[in-house]
Amino acid sequence: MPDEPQTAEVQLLERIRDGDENALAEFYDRFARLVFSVTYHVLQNDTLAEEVTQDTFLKIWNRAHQWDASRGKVTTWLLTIARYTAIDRLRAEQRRDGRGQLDLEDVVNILGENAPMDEPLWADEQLIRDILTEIPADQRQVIELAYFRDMSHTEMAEALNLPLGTVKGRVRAGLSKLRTLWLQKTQIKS
Amino acid sequence: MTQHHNPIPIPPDDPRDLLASYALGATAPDESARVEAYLRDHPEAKAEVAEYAAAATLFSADVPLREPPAALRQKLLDSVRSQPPTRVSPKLVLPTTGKPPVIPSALPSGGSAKRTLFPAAALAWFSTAAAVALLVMNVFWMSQVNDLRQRQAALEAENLAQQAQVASLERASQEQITDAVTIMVTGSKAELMDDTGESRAMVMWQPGDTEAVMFTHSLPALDDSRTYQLWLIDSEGNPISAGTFTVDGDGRATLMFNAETAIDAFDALGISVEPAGGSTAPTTQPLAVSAL
Repeated sequence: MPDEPQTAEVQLLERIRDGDENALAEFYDRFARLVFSVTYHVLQNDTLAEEVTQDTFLKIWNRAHQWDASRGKVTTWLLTIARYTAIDRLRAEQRRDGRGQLDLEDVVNILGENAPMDEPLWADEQLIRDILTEIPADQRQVIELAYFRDMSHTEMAEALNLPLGTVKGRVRAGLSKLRTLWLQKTQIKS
Repeated sequence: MTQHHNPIPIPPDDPRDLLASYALGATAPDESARVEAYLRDHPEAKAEVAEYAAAATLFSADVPLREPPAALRQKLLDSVRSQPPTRVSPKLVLPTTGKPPVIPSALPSGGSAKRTLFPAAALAWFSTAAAVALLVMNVFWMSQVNDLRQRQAALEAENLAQQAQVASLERASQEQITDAVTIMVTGSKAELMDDTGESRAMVMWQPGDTEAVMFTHSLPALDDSRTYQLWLIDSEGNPISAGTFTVDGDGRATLMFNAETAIDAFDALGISVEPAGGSTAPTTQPLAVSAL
């Protein structure tokens, strides 16, 4: 991944940690579209995604001191916070409306509608595309159901009408390959 | 004659085969427990879990892009202006003896069931009692701290992920536990006591933060028609519900809650017994209170 943007992001986080509101505004300008897109993808609702996006940046504002530049990329940290905040909200909404579980058919349909990324995001978009296209579709499907829809092995097996062992195997194989490719290609780039 | 076949027991998955699913949060509770036990014995595997979690974020780059509402930026900035960023400096909040919480005087109109809460007689005792109790971290609270620290150790893999800036590796509940531990270690504290001066609950939060965690101790069990409710009292004496909760056989409960403004900005905390489902305003005398 390019060093320069990462350095700029680190500097922004350091300023946020010091209470610089302008730095938070810059950080928001840089990442709001990505965070909103991810939270919308989890929640499938504009209003909820807006609230969760705000919550995510408030967590950045309040927890900037917890981030350690030597231990990881800003974007990975931000997206993990965004994903968990959205998943938290997803669970709360499910409890609130009494459904108790996702509409699994909708979930599968939603994930089938993924559009390819149309512009650079946090890193080398071509590199990410290259990595993701090497993950078989069936493996990618279960990883996305777990990652974006908070689904367990059992829920995925029911939704996809697959044996539990098959689901577990696909998650393991897909994520193992993703990890290996990610490590290989980032090492090559560096 | 009917022949019964015992199902062939399915051997549990090797924990090593569950690391990827664990990083995604897709494992069942029993599987998570086995992975965590494995990670305690094989710390070298933690890096692998963190790498799985980090690699999974790549999927975020492939979601359809959407523009956030234009007004959201200003809403965010307005919100942060009302609260400074959380600092790590620990602070023990002692009750202020000169500023007791204001008794709510204005009740919602038409609410015949809603009665005044926290009357002066119920509040008069707590400043002194709270000052004494807060200075003595008794065995119970120490055990709570130790208990959560043990749970934190059990979630070592998640902590690693946080250190690796992957935040949480397991379900959101684990993230909440970590938040609770962080709050306990570095945050402010307020102890809620009953009218005998006995500690009944403690609320902890990060200075300036809106998120807090409450632990109760020795609260009587309630029947199904009633529930406990925690209230935040603002500077004008208005009660704001922080949530309802029930207690276990030992009178214990844990409640994490988020306020709309920083916890420090409130004047007092109180617990009351309410009808099942909770109330919009307290309907009974508080059974435990604390000034902030």
